[in-house]
Amino acid sequence: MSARHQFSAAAFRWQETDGNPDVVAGNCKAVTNAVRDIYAQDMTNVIFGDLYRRAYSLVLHKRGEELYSAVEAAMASEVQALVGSLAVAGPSGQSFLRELLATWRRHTAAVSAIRDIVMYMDRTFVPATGRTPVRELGLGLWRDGVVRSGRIRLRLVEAVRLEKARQEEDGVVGVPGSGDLVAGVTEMLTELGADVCHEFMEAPTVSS
Amino acid sequence: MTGKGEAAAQHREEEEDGEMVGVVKLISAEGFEFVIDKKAAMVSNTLRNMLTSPGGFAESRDNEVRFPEISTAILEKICQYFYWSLHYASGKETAEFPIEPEITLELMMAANYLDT
Repeated sequence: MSARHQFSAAAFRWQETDGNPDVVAGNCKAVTNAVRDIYAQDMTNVIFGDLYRRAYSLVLHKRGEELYSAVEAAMASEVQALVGSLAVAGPSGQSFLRELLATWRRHTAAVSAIRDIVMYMDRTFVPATGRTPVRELGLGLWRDGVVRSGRIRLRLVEAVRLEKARQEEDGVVGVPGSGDLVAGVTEMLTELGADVCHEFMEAPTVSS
Repeated sequence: MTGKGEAAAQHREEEEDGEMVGVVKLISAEGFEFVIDKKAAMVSNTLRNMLTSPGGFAESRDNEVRFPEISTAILEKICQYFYWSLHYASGKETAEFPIEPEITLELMMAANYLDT
């Protein structure tokens, strides 16, 4: 009997933090701070092992709900900040596309780093409760918060149209890297969903 | 003759697994350090993500991971399992991986954590 007690105490070392609201809040806060740092590409204080452990502990102790909402909110606010910086990006078509694609790459890299941290949530809590996995969450935020947002949408359509027109004028080899820009945009839109790509690539022909 | 081919194959393998070359240090709750091949550590999906994630986490810079919730005895067993898995997971050879009943629960908790 006593041996059994000792044994389970060792096996459930994780439970030290169980149910303590301060610890739960602290763990959520650490993960959301990490989301912010990852988007800022400031990795000095981001220790994977520590964050994975916090996220794991939350999910294990039935706090997946809190963790999920915290991560979702943190990602949404970071994407909002990215839209803000894009809205003031250079006015010309090419530099806008370049800026948009660089930001998109930064976003996808951040999403995969975040997914790695909360992998245990993605693997257990998400399928059990029918939530959207973190990667899809990131794509959705970008699709609805960025490319479909009023400020970006029209500029994107216009910039792509200009870029295509320029290509036709100069021939494909005319401007180095310009073909890559349209290809990059197409790749991004395709990743957001086949319908999204249609929505954008058809728009210029409709308006002309 | 065959030696040359083998060397070339091995070389190619090393190139493909550029990120898997080298060692990583795993530190148990009590502070014991286990130095194992990265290739072995990557049997664990958690460690794989930790070491290869694009973000550049502290761990992928230092190649050092702390496990404050895994005891030395369990971490040792886990390291043994990594190497066992590397060797036998292909199924060409088979061998039992011995697990003492008294550590089963703790080992399973750790395996769940490490996604192994």
